Amino acid sequence: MNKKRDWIAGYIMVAPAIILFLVVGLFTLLFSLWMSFHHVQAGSLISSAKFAGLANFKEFLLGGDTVMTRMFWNSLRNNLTIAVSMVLVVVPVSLVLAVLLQNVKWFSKGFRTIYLIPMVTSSVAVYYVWQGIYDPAGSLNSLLSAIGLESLIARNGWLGELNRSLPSIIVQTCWGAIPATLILYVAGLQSVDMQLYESAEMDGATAIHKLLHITWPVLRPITAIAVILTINGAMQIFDNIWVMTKGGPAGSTQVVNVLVYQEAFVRGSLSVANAMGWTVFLITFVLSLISLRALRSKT
Amino acid sequence: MSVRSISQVAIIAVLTLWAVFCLYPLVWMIGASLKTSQEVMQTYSLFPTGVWHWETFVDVWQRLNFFKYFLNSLNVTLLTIVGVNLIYSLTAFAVAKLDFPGKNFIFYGFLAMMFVPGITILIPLYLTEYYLGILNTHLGLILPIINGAGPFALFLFRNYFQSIPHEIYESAKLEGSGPIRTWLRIYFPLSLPAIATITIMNFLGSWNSLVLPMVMLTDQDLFTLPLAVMLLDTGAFRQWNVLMAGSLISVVPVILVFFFMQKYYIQGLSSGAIKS
Repeated sequence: MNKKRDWIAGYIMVAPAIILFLVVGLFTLLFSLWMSFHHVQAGSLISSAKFAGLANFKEFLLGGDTVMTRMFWNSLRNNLTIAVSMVLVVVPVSLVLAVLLQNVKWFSKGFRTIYLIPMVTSSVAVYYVWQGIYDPAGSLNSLLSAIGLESLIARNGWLGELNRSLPSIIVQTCWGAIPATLILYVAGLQSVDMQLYESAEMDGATAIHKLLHITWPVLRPITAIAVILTINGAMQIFDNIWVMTKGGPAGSTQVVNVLVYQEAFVRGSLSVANAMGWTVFLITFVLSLISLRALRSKT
Repeated sequence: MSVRSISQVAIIAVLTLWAVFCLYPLVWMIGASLKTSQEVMQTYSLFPTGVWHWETFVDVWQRLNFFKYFLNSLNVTLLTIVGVNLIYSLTAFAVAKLDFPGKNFIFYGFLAMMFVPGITILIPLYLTEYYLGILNTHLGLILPIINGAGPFALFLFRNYFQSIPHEIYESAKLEGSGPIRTWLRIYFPLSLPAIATITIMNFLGSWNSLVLPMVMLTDQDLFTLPLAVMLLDTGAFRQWNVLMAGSLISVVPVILVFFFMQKYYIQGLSSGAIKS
């Protein structure tokens, strides 16, 4: 009798979440999978969609549509460039800041609060500010001329020049992404057992020895998480690029998510855009697995 | 001065420099919103050298309808927060405390969904909402945001409920309290720290959300603040002061909430990482 009451109550309690999940989550996921293998055009009925096999994927992967193929591989390369640069910048900078935060005697909490501001405010509003900073008449060029580095000034603005736009986007993205990784390292360092340090010192261990054998074992899994989260973030980047460059100039900052949005909602090729979404999902998944393996096997 | 205090000074210098880098865009935003449009790109000074133009805020708030967009954002954000907390607290309680077939399948099914990026289901979601007739409504925006927040909230609530001693559940049961009553009277109120964490994470998430409103909303009367800020940028000449005043209006609530609930935000970030 009691058991039955558990059953009924249990199913009633999970019902809202399950219904929402079935409609918004599972159904759309299956719909998405179906769409990747069918021709669906904006404005025409779903029931009239024809089976397309792998044609949608061929369009942008293998030159079925040469322009789109070029745009896709260019976008993917930009995503990967952003991902690699971010891992190389975000992880070490966050680690150094976390170590400094742990060793500073005053204002530690105040600094930590301020360091989270970029993440909290990362939104359309702040991306416009960065556009202002990168403007031809913006703060970055002003700073360069003030310190006598006129030769480095970007005449068309930092987002307007082909070879500077992507690095400028990466700097802005790192600025917004460092707080999350920093918090992970701060929490990790706090959990390092101080007694281990003391006993190691009594045994005459050097600073490097302590770093390798006491601190790193704690930080390694955190680094693995940070790397995976950073790669995921870089593969799904959209908001800041949409506001600051829309992928331009000349595709130099184009990324897959922006391309998917433009293909689907500007040009109306829904099923090709959808297939792109799946491709980037699979690539991200594989990248995550690789980085997990790499950071695990170093034990 | 000893070596120790010299190194302290050096550390504080580096940390201060980074703090300036973190705060600069926000300060720039405040300064630009108080200048005239021409002044923004022409003066080196962060703040206006002459008159401070507070009237830009009044203009943006009233004439450019930011009060309406503000209410829209508030509406979407609050309903999201209430929905996420109620729905996934209930689900987590059932999964953590009740015994019924399929509960583990449900729990891990939700967690697996976390790996699917939003862009993969964005287009079918748009079509589904079109056929359901909820495209271009706040409901059509809120439902996917709630579902997206589900795995994290479920995970957090379940862990929290499992950390509460099981005797509490047993004694409530002995006194004849049914599961739903026990959840409402005991477990939901007890989980206040988890509620706080989920609230601030979702406040930031839905307040700053861009892709979903861009896709789901076409009627300007329904626009949330990020879309409204982009509306300010549609003219031939960019009015930096107006754009920044609108931006500041959209950022201030987030900063206020962050300052008051910082502890729970940090907890959320850390537990979010443990989960993944």
